[in-house]
Amino acid sequence: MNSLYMPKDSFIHNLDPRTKMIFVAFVVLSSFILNDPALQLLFLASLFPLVVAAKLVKPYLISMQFLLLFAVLIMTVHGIYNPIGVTPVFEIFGGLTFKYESMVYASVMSFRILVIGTAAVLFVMSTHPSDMASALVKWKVPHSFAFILLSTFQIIPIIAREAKIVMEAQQARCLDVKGSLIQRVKNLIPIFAPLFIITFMKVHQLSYVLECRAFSREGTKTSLRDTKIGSKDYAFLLGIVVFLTFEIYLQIFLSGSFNLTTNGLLTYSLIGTWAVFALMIAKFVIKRVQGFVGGMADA
Amino acid sequence: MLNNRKAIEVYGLNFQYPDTKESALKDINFSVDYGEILGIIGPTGAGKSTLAMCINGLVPQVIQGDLVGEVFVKGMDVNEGNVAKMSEHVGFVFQEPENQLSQMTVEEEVAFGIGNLGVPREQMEGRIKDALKQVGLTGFEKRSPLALSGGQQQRLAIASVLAMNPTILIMDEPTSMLDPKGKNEVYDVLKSLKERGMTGIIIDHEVERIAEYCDKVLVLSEGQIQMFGPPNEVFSKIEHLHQLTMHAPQVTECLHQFNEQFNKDVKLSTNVEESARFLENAYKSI
Amino acid sequence: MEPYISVMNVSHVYSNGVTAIKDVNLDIYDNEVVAILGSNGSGKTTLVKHFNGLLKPTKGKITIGGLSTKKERISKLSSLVGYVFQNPNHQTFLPKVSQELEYGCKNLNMSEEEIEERVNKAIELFELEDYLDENPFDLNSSQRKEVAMASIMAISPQVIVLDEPTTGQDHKGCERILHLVRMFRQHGHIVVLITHDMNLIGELNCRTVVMHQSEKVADDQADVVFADKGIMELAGLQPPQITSLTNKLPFLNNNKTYLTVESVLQSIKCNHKEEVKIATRT
Repeated sequence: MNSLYMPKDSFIHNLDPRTKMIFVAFVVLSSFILNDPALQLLFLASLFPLVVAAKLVKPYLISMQFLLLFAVLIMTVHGIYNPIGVTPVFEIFGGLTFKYESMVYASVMSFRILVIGTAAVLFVMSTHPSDMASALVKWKVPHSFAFILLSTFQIIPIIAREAKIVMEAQQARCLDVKGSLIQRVKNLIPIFAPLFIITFMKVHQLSYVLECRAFSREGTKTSLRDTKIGSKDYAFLLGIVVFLTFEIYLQIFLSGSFNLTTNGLLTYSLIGTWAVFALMIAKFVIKRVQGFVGGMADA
Repeated sequence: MLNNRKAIEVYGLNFQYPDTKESALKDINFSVDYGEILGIIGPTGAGKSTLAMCINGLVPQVIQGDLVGEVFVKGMDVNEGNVAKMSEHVGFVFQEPENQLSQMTVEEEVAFGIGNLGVPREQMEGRIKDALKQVGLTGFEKRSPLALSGGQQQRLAIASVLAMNPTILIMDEPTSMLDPKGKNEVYDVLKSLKERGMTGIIIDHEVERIAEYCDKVLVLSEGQIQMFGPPNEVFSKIEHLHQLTMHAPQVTECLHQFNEQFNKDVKLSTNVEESARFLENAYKSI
Repeated sequence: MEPYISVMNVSHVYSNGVTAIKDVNLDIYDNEVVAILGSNGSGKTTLVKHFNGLLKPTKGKITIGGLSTKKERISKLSSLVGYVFQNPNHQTFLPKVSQELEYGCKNLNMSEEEIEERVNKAIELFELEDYLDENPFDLNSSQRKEVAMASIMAISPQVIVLDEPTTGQDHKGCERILHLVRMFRQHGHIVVLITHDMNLIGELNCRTVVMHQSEKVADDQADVVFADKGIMELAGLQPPQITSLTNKLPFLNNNKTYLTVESVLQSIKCNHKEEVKIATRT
C-alpha cells in the first residue's frame, strides 16, 4: 500500500533484485538495438508473458494507460509534422498527411517508451523496495544511498497525503482550486509552499531519528531481509543472453533482407493507440456523467 | 567504571543555540538513579526537549550550539563518544509517531536500528520478537507502519529503540499527538518497562499522568530547574507552579483550593484515592 | 428556531469503499459551542469536513445557513464555516502575519475597505498589533497556531471549527484556547471543537457529540455524556481526573457530575451551608 510494490507469489517476484535490474538494463539496451517499429512491437509482445507470469496484468495495464497518452501524442504530432517525412501514407481531415518516415520515427520512439515502461513497471511492482536496497548494498552501493532510495519510496505516499491535507487547508481559506488556468497556476504557491516546508520538517526530524538509531555508526551493518542469486536467476540471465545474441544477429545480419514495417502496420498501430485512447476518454466521461446524474438524483 | 555512579548525571550544564541572546539551559544539575522514571514538565519553550537531547548527545553533536558542563550516562561522558555510540545505552522516542518511521514493514522498522549496530541476522528475529512483545505489537510483523494507528506507531517507535537494548529510555512528549486510547497504550508500555527496571525520562504536559507514573519530577522554566523531587513534594508547591504558569493535577488543585477557601491545612496529594480520603476527613471538620 | 448547520441522515463512503460516517443527524444552532469527541478514525473529522464542503455527503443532505453544501462552492462555504486545521503549517505559508490575515479575504475578492475592516477586527480580537510584521515561522508553535486561527477569523465566518486546538499546548496555551472559545461565542459565533481534551470540554461543559465507529452515539451536555459510563467506555474516553475524585466523595450531591475543580468547591460550600443551617435549626 505504501509503494508500488505488489506482493505476489510468482517466478518473477522470486528473482533476485539484481537479476531484475540486469533485466531492465537489457530491455533498455534492446529497445535501442531493435531500431524498427515492427521488431519493437514484437519485443513488446514477447515481454507480455512475463507480466502474466508475474500475475500483474491488471495493475500493469492500468499504469500503461498513462504511457499510452505519450504514445498517442508522439505518434500523432510527429507523424504529421515531423519534417523528415516525405512519403505520404494517409490523410485525415483533408490536408493533414501522415508520412512514412515520420511515422517510423514516431513509432520507434513511442514503442521504446512502452517497452522500457513495461520493464520498469515489472521491476517496481515485483520487487520489494527493501530487497532492492539490500541488493544495491551487495553491489557496493553505499548504505546511505540505498537508504535514500528506500525512504523515497516510503515518503511518496506520505507527501501525497500531506498534499491533500494542504489542499483542503487552503480551500478552507477560501482558495478556489477549480478556477481558470491562470488561477490554477497561481494556486501552486499556496499548495507547494506549505508542502515543501512540511516535507522539509519531516525529513529533518527523520535525520535526528536516524542518528538515534545508530545509522551513522561505522562498521558493518546487517539487514533482516536477505537476497540470494540462485539457479532461477542463472536460468533467467541465460535467457537474457540468448535473446540479446538473437537480437544482435537479427539486426546485423538480417537487417535489410526483410521489412516488416509496412504502411499497414504503421497505420494500424496508430489507429490502435487512438482506439484505446478513445476508450479511455469514453470511460472517463461515462464515470463523470454517472457521478453527475447520481448527484442530481440525490438532490 | 565506578559502581556508585548513577544512570544519568548532569553537572553544571549550560547550552546556547547559535544566534540567540539567551541560554536555552542554565546551570542544570541533577541525576537519575537506575530504575527511576523522571518526568520533566515546564511551559513551552522552557528547554525541556533541549535538555532531553543533551542526555544522548544529539545536543550539541547534531543540533549544534555552545555547551558547557558535563553529562554522564552510566558513568560515560556522553560527548566523548557520539550519538550513534550512545544509542546502545540511551533510546530516544520523539513526539510525532510517523516521522520516526522509515521502513516498509513493522519487523524491518525494528530491525533497522539493530542492523545498524551490526547484530547478526540469526539474532535479529529473537530481538524483534521480544521488542514487539514488550510493546504489545506481536502479530503485526508484516504490516506496513503507515497503516497503524498513532498509538501503535508510537509503540513501534518504542520497540525499535528497545530492540537496541538501551538502559535508559527518553520520551519527548510521546503522547501529545495521540487520542486517549493511544495515550493509554503508551503509558501502559511505560509502566511495564518500569516494572522491568528501565530507567526513563518522559516529557509531558499532562501533569496527572506525570504524577502517577514518575518517581521524580523536574520542573523547568526558562532554562532553569525550578523544582526537583518526588511528585508529591513538587506538586505541593502549588503556588510556585502557578507563578510559572503551570498547574498541579486536578485533585491537588482541588485540595489546595479547599485549603484556601476554608482556611484549612489539609495535606496535598496527587493520588485520587488519597485525596478523596483527605477531603472527606477535612469535610467533617469544617 | 432554524438550525444554522443541519446534518440530515448523512453517510459518507470514501472512494476505497470505507464508510466513514453512517446516518448522522445533527442540528447546530446559533451561538452554540459543540465538542465532537471520539477516537481517531471514528469519523469526527469526516463529519466536520462536510460543513465547509470539503466532503460532500454520499447519502443525505447538509445545509449551512439554509444553503445545501452539494451545490455551493467550497470557497463560499468556507466563508461561512471557518476551519482551523490542527497543524498550522498546513495553512500558513506567507512571510508576514499581516499577509496571512488578508489572505482569505483576498481569495474572496473583497474590496480593500472590506478587507481592512475584517482584518482589523481579527487583529483586535487576537491582540496581534505587535506581531503584524513578524514572519509566522519566527513565532513559537502556540503563537503560530493563533495566527492560523486569526487568519480564519479574519474571513469572519459564522462558524469556527477548531481541530485539536490544545494538542501539544502547555497549560497557559490551553487556558488561552479556553478564553478564545468563550470569546468567539460572546461575539456570536458558533464554535465546533474536534478534540480529545476532556479537561477543555469539562471547563466549557458544552454540548458534546460522541462519534464511535462512524456513528453518532451520544449528543448531550458534557456532564450528562461524561456520566454515561457505557458511552465513555465504548468510545474509550476518560472523564477529567476531578470527576473520578468526586465519585469517591459521598458527601457531595452524587446526582450531579462534576467536571471542574471550581464546581466541586462551589458544591462543598453550598452543602456546608445547608448542613450548618440544618444543625442550627435543630
